[in-house]
Amino acid sequence: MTDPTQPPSPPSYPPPPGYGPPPAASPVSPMPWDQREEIGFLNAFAETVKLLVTDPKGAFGRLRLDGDYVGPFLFALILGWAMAIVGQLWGLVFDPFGSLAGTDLLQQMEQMGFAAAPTFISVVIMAIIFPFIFVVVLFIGCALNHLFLFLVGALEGSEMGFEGTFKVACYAQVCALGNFVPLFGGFINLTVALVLLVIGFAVVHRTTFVRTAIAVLIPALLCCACLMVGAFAIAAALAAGMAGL
Amino acid sequence: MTESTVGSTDRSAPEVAHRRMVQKGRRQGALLWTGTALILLLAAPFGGLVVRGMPSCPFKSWTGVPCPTCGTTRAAALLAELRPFDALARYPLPTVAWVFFIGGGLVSGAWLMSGRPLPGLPRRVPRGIQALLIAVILLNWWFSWLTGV
Repeated sequence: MTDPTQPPSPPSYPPPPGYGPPPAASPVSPMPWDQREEIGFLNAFAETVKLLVTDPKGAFGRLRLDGDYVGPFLFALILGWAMAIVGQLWGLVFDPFGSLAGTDLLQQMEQMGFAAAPTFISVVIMAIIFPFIFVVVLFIGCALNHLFLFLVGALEGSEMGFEGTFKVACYAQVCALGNFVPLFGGFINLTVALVLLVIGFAVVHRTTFVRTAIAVLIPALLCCACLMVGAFAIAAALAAGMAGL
Repeated sequence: MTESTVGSTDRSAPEVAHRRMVQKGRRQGALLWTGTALILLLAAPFGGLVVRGMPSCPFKSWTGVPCPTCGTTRAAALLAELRPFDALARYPLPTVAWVFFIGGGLVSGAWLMSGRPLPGLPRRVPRGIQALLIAVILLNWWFSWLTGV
């Protein structure tokens, strides 16, 4: 019951993002990677990978607004860099297109630029230029994901905003472990990435899986297949061009 | 009523810490945007090499229809050759997107250096703007289809 002698309380309006009171502290422990100073670098890395692989929903639920882009980016860069080199080395060890020799499919793939086998020099150059390409591809990918999340209204209840999108994209790079699988690594990588992004965005932005699935899958189907192929092609073209200098 | 509860600009320590944290995140995000824009500008001389090394669009190869982002790399290459009007005439939306993306990165860098607080990105889009954005993307796709990009 309200006290009739007291004046009515004014209506409350939600403060703009970033200007309201801080959210209540959560009892959920932070991501192991955020505790790397306490538990050790390698241990934190291994624990984070394990958590993302075994319980992605729980892992993304541990992400908090803390203004730290550097930590997640470092995690993504280590994984992406190592696995890009592994992927290239598989190309050196196996002849990924050998079984297709003389087929129409190989000719089509060569015309489309897919069938360029790596050389030792291109692997070294790829290792050097990869971080620069990675930051560009990661940031543009995040911007596209954020735009589509915005368009489908998935950010309306979000507290973390772009920081959340960026962190999910960084931790979803754990999909690069798929590159350990020869030949089919790229396919596994892509599939796991899409699943992790859908789960991660839904958890971090407090929205439904349907919305995040629409926001992730539409650009992935229509545009990003080209952009991802393009990113690898840019890296391969630069590596090949520099190797020829 | 005390001054600290009504009509005061004083904020509690946790709120101030929260705002600082939000600003820290925005600064790092802006720095990342600036860095990305600078890498793209520095890579501009390799634009021709990139276009030559690009495979054809898999979506177009498989369906015969250009994808909504077809022309993005070619727009970037034309911009890298300082031919903005050619880029705009052939690939309008990708050109505008590149200019916004790289220009925004440079503005973010300048804003960072000025030391002023950074604004956040909007979280909610009015239905009219949402429909307009989707319409622009679809119109650009239709334009690509018509011009055989």
